[in-house]
Amino acid sequence: MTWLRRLINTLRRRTLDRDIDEELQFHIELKAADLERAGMSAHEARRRARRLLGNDLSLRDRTRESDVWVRLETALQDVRYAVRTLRHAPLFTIAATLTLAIGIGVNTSMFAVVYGVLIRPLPYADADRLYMLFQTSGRAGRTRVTPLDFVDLQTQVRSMRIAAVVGNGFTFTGHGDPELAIGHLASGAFFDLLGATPALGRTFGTADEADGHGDVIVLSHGFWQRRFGGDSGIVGRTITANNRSFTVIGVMKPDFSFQGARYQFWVPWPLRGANPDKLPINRSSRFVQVLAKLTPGVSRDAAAAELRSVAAALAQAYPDAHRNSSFILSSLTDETVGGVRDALKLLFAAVLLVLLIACSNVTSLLLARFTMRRTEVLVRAALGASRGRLVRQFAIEIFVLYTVGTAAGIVLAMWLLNLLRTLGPAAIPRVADVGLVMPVLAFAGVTSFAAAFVFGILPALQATRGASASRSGARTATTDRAQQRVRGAIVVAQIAVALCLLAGASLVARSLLNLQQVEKGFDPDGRLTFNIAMPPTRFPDAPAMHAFYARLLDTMAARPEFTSVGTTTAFPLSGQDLENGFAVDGYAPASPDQEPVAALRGVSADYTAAMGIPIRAGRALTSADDQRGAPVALVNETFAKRFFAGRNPIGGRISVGGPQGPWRTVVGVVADVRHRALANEARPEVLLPWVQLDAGFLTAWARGISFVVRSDLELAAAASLIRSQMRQLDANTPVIELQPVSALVERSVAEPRFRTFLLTSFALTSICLAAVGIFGVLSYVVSERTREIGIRMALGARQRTIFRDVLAVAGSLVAIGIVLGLAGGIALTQWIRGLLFQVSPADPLALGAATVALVVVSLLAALVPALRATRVNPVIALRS
Amino acid sequence: MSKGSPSLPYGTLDLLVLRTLAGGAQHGYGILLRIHEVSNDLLRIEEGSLYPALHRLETTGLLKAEWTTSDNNRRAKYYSLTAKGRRQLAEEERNWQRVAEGVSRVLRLA
Repeated sequence: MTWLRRLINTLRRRTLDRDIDEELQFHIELKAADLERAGMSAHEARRRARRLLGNDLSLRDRTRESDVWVRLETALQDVRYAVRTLRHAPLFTIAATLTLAIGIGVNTSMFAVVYGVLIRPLPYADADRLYMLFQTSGRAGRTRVTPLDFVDLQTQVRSMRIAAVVGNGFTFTGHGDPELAIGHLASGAFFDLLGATPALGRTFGTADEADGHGDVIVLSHGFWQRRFGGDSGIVGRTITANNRSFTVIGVMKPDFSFQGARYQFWVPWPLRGANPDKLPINRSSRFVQVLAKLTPGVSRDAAAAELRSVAAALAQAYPDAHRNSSFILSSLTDETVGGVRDALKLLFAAVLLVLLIACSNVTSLLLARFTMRRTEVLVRAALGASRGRLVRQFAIEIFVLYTVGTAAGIVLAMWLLNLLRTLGPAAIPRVADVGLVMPVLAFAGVTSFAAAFVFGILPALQATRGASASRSGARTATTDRAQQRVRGAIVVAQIAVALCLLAGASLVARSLLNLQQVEKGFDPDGRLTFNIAMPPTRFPDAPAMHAFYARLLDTMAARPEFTSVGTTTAFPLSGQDLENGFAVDGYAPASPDQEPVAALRGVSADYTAAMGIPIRAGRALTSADDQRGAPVALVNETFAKRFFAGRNPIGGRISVGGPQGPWRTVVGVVADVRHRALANEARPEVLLPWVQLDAGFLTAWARGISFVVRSDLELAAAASLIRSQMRQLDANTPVIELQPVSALVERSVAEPRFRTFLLTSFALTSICLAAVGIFGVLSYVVSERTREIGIRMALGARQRTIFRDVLAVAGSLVAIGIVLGLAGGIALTQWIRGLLFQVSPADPLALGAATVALVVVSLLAALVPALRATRVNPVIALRS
Repeated sequence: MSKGSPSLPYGTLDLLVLRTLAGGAQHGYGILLRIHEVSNDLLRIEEGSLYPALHRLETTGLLKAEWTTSDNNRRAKYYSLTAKGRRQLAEEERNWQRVAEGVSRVLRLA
């Protein structure tokens, strides 16, 4: 433990010195007393005693060296010295610390997001072996899997275990108001694959799939807290959902979720015994999500190969449904966060550039400051300090500066993260759990340490170069000129980098503007939407659903406050969608890939009017298009263009059931609606009267109804009126997701807007830092040339000329920076093509705006030093 | 320092200090006097090298030190052997005996 004792001694240096002094003093006194006794005078005895011990100071030092960790002690001395020096230059210290804090703060907070969202493993056991399994086919691209194929896969694949999952809404009654909640139906292996354990009771397993076990349900922690008041005796109790009784067998832990917290319960789904006759399914009903966990030791490639061979076997058995079809895997991580990965990478790259600018600013400041300390360096070198010792001294000063900057940066990051979590859209998965955890802090530490080294080595070497030069008698003017060149190069680089960032930000901002102005195909203003469901237990067949639907429409239409009311089975931008194969009379697909597939909606007669969807040709639906009327359909423009190319779609015939009919007549063409997202081109769409939907389809796919209500009432008033109307109609049908239609539009641009906001903030930060850089360098140039300016003015130079000369220095640096920045910007923005919307990466307007902004800011930054140069008083300048 | 007293071979100072302290706790000056006295003034310790040695032995854990009040009512730092110091002393004594015996044999027979 010698080192520990030394470490302690090093840190308690003052007491240590006092102890040593006291011990030596004691020795001297005893010795002197002895000498005195032997006959010496008191004075002589003390002198001799002291001499015998040797040189006071050196003895104390040698004694102390046995006690302390010498290297550490000199390092601590350097740190103390550095802190003192920094404290004596408060302006410099504050400027450098703030710059570093900004660079490190934005970096750390952005890395916290990248780590929390992208890097941190998903909260499941062996998350790296978890995948989602999809079916692919030329016709529909990547889709979910049919229940029948799932059962085949489950029995045939060896390289993985799989579980089927579908989302479903259940209406819970009893325990207060009826509530429609979303949960998962999942096959028995679900919890086992995720490695999830419950907080209370148990989860279900494959044993629960067998018949005769009764209906069981597992609740999410949040749902249990909210609806059942956190009742600790919930396990074993019976609750009612969809008019069926379920026994609660378990409650999950608070941090468990799958596909987001909105899924609040899990019910076993006995697909193994699936009876195709009882379910309205065939080998084309692809609605099952498949969770797969690879067997340990099996590679993804091996698993994919096995899936291909299973698909080939299925294609032989069912050539119609499986032509050109296969199964693919996509990692669960990609499925969860893949959508924001590019945006986050871009933002992280942006903050790295901000850090680059911040650190180079500090380098520039250090270069200027160390030049002013040349005298100190020369004196210390003359007193015998070696170059290495001097470099170490300056290096330690730089590290102290970076340490303080990092600490301030972490505080800033804490604040930024809070801001981020409040502003951050729900569109970014996992963002709620982002925080300054250990790996993030480690990243901050390593980054700033590396930055201190990379950006500190140059000033430290430069500062001490004078030390050896002075010995050889060289003047330091060359060092100054070299130093100015370095600082000029730094400014050029800063301008270039800032321009890249600004170009990226303006491209993303233009994309956002385009996105907000895109033709949505409907009018969100003054409209509300809400959903209801007709659970099969209450509405067992089509007639029951028809009767309830008619009452629904009547009740809502009865209020004069509602100017127009419509319903659909899949609301735009809500995430609901359903696509189906069609037959179009007179259209022959050139290849199987071009068979007509279109989204299918069941709508009310007034839907298009209530939504403000323009009718492009023909007519809208009317109340005459009911069960007794002729079967009709509306198609959107994309459908008309693709499948009625060159023909008049009005009067054309299409069929949901396939070429054998029954056929429907197209009576109108509606505008394209941006259904999935504002950025997504519309896909072919068919709107059928809900009341004309086939009974089998109705009971299987059309139990959820989305309303759109147009009203001149204020939002809150309209919402409460809707609720009271629905309560009067049926107390057991909960109204969910009641919100303005504009909220859906807002949500769909929330992530692009957030990304634009962040990127723009980073770009502005970088411009400000670059401006500070220009300001610093020019101020230095002016102060260095005060004498020269004074002489020129004395010789008759005009203020305007001086002003122009100083600006010219800035102008040439900025010009080079802009040329480099434009070249780099055009190269780099290619890289973010995927994040742009209706903007070319080399968009001249965006690049031009960025350049102009940068030039203006640079000139403003140069203005103050340039003006100061014109105020140089020749008399004072020449005398100094 | 005085003429006639041989300079100590390197490393023997530690041995002498440890041996002296085996008789009980003592302060620096006391150790010095004791060595002079026992060696009949044959061995003289250079005063300047004693304290660095004491501090080194303390930080390496062979000695422990304690501030106590001395006979004339002054604070003094008393050193004593630790268990580790005792083991080290035994070890060094054995080494010394062997070396001394070896050297004297060579002197006699070579």
